[in-house]
Amino acid sequence: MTTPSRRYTLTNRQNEVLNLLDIGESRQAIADRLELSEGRVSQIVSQLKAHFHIKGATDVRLVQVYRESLGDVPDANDPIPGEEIANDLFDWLPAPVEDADPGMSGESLVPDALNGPHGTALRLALIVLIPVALLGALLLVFAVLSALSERTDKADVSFDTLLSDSRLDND
Amino acid sequence: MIEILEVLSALALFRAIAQDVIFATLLAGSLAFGQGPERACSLTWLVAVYFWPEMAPAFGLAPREPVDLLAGSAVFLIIDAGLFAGFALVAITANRLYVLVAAAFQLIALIAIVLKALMVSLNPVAFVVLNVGSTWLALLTLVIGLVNHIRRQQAGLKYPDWRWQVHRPRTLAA
Repeated sequence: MTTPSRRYTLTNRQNEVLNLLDIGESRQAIADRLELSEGRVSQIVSQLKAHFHIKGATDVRLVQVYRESLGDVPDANDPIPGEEIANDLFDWLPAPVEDADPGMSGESLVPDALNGPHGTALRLALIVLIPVALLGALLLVFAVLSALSERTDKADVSFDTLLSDSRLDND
Repeated sequence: MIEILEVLSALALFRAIAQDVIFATLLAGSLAFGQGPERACSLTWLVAVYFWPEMAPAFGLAPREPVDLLAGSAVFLIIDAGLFAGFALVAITANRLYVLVAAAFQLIALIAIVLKALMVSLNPVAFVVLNVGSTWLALLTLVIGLVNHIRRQQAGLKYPDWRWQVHRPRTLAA
């Protein structure tokens, strides 16, 4: 029934996404279940469409082609899970960016929160917090060093004492 | 203390030349291999460090004569403020993380200048380390960011330059 050669050319992640699409999950639901960003799921779907040579097709068509590749072709009268919802959705949603331009995956290089509605505020907060953390760490190091310095002054420890190597003194 | 200052002064000439060479390499690399954010950062540095100090005296924002870094001149204040403003603008709009770090380092340099102006007793070595050191770290961060970008491009990865081009989760219930 299955077509192993084709199936095994997919990565585990691609297989997971395909299987979830097959049971009628939306991209957002897949992203939630696999703990990925929706952009990443869209990228994987794009890769799958390229793999099956159906760039620009809907996700429903992808599922059909996937089933055909497995030899599990449903009867023409069998509804595909999620088909009605998907068809309604694709009727009025604009074409996904990755379909319009396969070269643009839409993948974010920054954490999703920094692209969210409060992204600007979070980014500005990071710009301020990074120096605060660095300077805080620097001050802490200086405080420790000065405390050590005071102690060694009292103990009358010199650099010569600290750097002397007892193994060399055995000669 | 005087010896350290003498060493720092002796290194100042080498530092300036090294900084120019590294920046020229960064500018060429970002124009040839970089995308929007990389080019924006390089152009920010070009304008803020090389052109803006020449233009500022014309607006009465800085003295015309050359000044010592330790004097905490307005020239260095406007250079660092210009660099920080440019990096911060790119950092809040770009689909890159390293620009945030570069902007943070530049903020330290700016804070050092302001501290120098406010605290006459500020240790000169501490000032130079904070100001020059963090600006160097910002420059090196840009270089590392560009190198990583080139490596990702060579690996065949495609990604947007700016945050508004990144896919946002859609509300299916809308």
